[in-house]
Amino acid sequence: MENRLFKWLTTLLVLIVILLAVSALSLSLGPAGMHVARIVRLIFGGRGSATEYAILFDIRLPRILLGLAIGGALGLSGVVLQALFRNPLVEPYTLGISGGAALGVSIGTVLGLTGLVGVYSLPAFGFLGAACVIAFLSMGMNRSVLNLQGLLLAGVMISFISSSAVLLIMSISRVEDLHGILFWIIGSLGETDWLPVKVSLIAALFGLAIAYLFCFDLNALSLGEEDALHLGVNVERTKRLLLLLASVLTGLSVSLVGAIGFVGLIVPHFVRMLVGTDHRILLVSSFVSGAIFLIFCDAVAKSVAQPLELPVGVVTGLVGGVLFIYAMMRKAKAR
Amino acid sequence: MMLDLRHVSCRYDDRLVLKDINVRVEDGGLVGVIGPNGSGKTTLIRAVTRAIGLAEGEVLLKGRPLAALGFKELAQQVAVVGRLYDLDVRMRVEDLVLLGRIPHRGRFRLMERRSDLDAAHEAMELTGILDLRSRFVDSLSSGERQLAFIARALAQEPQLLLLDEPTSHLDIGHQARVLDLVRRLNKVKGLTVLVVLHDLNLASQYCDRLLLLSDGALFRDGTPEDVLTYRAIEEVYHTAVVVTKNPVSSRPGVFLIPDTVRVKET
Repeated sequence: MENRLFKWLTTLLVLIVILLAVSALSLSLGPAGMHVARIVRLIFGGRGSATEYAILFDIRLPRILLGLAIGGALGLSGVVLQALFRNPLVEPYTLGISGGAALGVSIGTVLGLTGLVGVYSLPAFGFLGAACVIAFLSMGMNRSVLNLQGLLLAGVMISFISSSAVLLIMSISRVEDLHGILFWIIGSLGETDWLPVKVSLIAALFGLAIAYLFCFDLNALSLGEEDALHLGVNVERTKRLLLLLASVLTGLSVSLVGAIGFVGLIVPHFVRMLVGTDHRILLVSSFVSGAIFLIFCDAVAKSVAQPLELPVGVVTGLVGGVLFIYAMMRKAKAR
Repeated sequence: MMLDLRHVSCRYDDRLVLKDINVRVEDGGLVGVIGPNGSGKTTLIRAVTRAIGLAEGEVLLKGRPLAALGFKELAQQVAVVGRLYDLDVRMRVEDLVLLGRIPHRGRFRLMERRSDLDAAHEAMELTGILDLRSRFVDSLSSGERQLAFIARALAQEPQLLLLDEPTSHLDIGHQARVLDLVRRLNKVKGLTVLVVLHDLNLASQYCDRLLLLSDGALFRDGTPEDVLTYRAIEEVYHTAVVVTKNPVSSRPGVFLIPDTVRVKET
């Protein structure tokens, strides 16, 4: 019992060390190359050319921080949603938020409105689409008792409808637009602007703090809604608040970097295998692991086929899926 | 007065499932709730836990209306053990029991205090599952699992314990073990108990007082001898029975009479 805190802190420490290692790896990878030792000297020795600094701090670092924020936000949303719905197949995109964002981006692209607000046009359209879906889902939340299964079905339907609409738009759009939409949907961390990095980082950490206040409520909810009520949890309020939190984090993530798949589905599963089902450690571990996973996949995406850069959404799916099946088979064998 | 239900009515959608229930449960009472399927037994429990809103009337817990109590405050005084079900999550027994401490902890207190661990320990000791503490709940037998859930409820250190068919799916040995425990908690620790039971004989043997519900209304309220008459049972359950006496406890025992036997006799 008493050594549980120690165990958790150790786990967290190990995860943070891995996060730093993966970040350092990613920092050293890129078209221009750069050895880790050189980076250390650059940062602590203070000797390097302006180009090197620019590559490091204006191109690679923001990308890593974006990966941290988005991976963390998706991992967190995934674990929160799986706990709320008590369904291991639910992930941040199940509720149709990413579908709405994709549809927003597609419409904006074909209407030629992408130059409207400069570089933020695509994210703006994405967030608009996501916000529409969230608003639609919240209408269902106005009832006194929130029916999660109904909400889940509605979300799946929204996903189908919007993906059909996106396909329709793609089938009638010009080749350049097609490429743009497709790449956005697959997702990429190639954003080098600092503003979205800062916004997403603050939002993700804020989200983690809020969710963490509800770790006991989530533990109780894992027994079922009625049992959670018997343990003094204000079930309806908790469901609504955490659903909104996960939705906003998902919407923000998707509109900034596209629909990078799999992080929110797979990371919580892995982390649960690793640390168990207590949300006191699960929430923060999922956040850090999501960041590790996304930064690692991004490092792979930008380095395996140089000078070509693979879309990170493809890598997350491939790496994540294969790893997951492997882990499940090992677990099955162990039993 | 631990629990006081005044003119309580509840509805699911348009259907009235509890009709003008008036029941008072004294401190230290051990009260059984019986009645046919769909007669409102579970709804009665849910009305006390605020899982369902009241259409009419009010429920008082120690003189205070439930509506005035927060969920947390309610959970500090009332614990519930439901029907046996499978857990979706893989959890150790002691972690399950420690969940019972949630109503007693602040949002900002991350780790368990000594008092939480002690309460969980005592709950597992009382239920006799201390040696199962590190096992996973899904590896337990049905009877052990139900004892673990009772331990979780006891860790809440409640004054009122509500049980909804705690013995369903249990064999006769585990039925006795669970209900002996409930009775012991009631007599020794002074815990007030309201227990829904399907089995009329178990209700008769273990409860001091029975509430017989029929179609959402309170049909009889009294000692097992008063309530379990063949006339009342036949009227409420539409089943022919014989009521005898348990030769050892001298509480009423209820035997049903199968159709084939009845046909032969008439």
